[in-house]
Amino acid sequence: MSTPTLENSWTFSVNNRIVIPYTNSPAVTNKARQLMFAIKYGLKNAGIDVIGSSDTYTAGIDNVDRWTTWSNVLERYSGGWCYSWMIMGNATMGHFLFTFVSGYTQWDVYYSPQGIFTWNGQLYTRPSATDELRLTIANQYFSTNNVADVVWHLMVDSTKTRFRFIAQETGVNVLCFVIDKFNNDDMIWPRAYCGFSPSWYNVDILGSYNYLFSSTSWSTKTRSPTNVALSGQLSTNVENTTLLGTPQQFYLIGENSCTNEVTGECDFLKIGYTVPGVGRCGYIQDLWASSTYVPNGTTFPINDTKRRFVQFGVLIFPWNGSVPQIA
Amino acid sequence: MTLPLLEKTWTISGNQVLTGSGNVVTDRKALFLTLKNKFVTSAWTVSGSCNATSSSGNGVDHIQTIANIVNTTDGTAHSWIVLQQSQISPKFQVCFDFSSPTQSSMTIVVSPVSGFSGSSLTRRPTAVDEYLILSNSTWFDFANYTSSSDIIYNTWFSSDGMSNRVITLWNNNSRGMWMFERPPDAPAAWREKSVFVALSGLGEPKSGSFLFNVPKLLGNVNELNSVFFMTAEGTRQGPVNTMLSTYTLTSSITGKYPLLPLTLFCGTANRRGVLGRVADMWYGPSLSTLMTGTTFPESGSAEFVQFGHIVQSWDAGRNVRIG
Repeated sequence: MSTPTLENSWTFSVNNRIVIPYTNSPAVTNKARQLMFAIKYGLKNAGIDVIGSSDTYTAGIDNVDRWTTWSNVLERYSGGWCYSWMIMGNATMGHFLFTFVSGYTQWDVYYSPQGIFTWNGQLYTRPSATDELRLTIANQYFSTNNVADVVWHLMVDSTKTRFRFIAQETGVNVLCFVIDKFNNDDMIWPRAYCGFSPSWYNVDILGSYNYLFSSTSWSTKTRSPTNVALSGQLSTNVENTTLLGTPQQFYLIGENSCTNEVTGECDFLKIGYTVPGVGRCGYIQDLWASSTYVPNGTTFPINDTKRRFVQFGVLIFPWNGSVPQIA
Repeated sequence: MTLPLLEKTWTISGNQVLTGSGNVVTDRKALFLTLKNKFVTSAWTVSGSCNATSSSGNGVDHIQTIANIVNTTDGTAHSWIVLQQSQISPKFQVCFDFSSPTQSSMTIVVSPVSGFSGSSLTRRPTAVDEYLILSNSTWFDFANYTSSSDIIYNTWFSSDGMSNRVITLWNNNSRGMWMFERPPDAPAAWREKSVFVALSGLGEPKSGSFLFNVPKLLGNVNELNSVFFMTAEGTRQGPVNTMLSTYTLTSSITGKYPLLPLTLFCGTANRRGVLGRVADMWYGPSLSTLMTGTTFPESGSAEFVQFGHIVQSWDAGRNVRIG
């Protein structure tokens, strides 16, 4: 199977590294803060607008970026626990807010498809939106204090209306923050966007089909045309409805590698977005599922320096030709 | 309610009725003769044939009447015929062999590339790459056809000759499917580029025959007889995967029917991988009430029909004959 043709053009910022130099480095305890800052930094550089922000001292939904350095991403007690927050987005994709919720180990992401966050002026209260969708689960870990560098990658489509932010630590995918559009030829859905943001520590959140393709954890959220909050999941080809109990998997050729045994290439399986009880809502462009046996960071075409695609976990993303760093 | 767009131009013969003669053996032979003629008038050619009296591999069709179909033990004079569809591959041939003393049984053998040779009055021809897809077994569930009744047959032939399908029904149920295809998007590295199936049984074609452990869709993949999963989109519901076709008839938001495009996945060791698609065929809703001749859309002109789990294009109206 030849590699697919991209439906969008993408801009990339990849192989960015948060260096953790030694065990007792201050960078270790501030690693999560640096990573959250990196999300803002990368998205802003890629043309996603800052809608509002808080550095716990001042705040506003006023298009001001108060995160000049990662030190502005903090928690602080002042009448209540204040957490820095950041709202980004644009009129097409809507707005999303991300913030820590407990120390620097857990975070929250809220997505307002209509971009209607409001704030009550209290520094210890995050903005909220009547249409907000929480893209995180309760007590969701964000990064770690491991003595290990974090590498992050960002891809934003040329219309700046969808993005994928992936972070790795010691070769493990610890964060995948995505706001994306799902498409159908006949989609009667004015704001067909969905978001998901699995993250954990020491667990590869993209390494199996258990999370994004499951109905039980890390649901992918959207709102219906009539503004009903929906929790969906990714879907892809299965070869057996009941007997195998796992999504279609491929086969080993050699040790811990996987290719189509006829073509010598890897299969790219289209990814749909499905809401149980509602039905299939569409497919996600330029994102594919592949084998759990493909090593993290494999690029495609295989043995081709063009490296037009990369596999992180079971997902295949567009890529910019560089050698991916995952640790 | 939106439906898929067709990628091929089809000649569909739907709701074709073979009136029961009162004799089950005659009915079966009449169906084969009818289907053979249908293939021959749909860009298939006769490569060779035998009617137990005359045999030749030179393109002569010796099966012109029901009397020419002699079904008896292999090694004695019996009927067989080889049909060829050159658009699948230059010598893609299918041999229908009536070499069984059981009148409801037949043997079907496919030669994807080489073609058959070496026949006689008592033996069917053989091919170096032959793939036995029905071995002296009941066809179209005829082992259970114990009293004569109307037999319904539906055929689909694409104008490019690469997709050829038959579904039959009797006694208010679908009974099987033949399918001989050259899949679109087959990779260049796959030399034969064809898949085929001869399903027989109550309710066939069922998705289980294409998906479960030993899928019945077959094909030769670079000189190795292989099996294919006809896969479609699914997702994980609890501990197991679920085909999206188990959802409701239409998406409550998009209005789309859960008609799932089919991807071919070879499951044979050393040949595994995605090897193309199936054109203009979908898994339909798995609700049992929809599996016998449901048409889509739900009102107006019938553009698609579901038999078993398979949905295909349709132009024979909303009144679908099922027996």
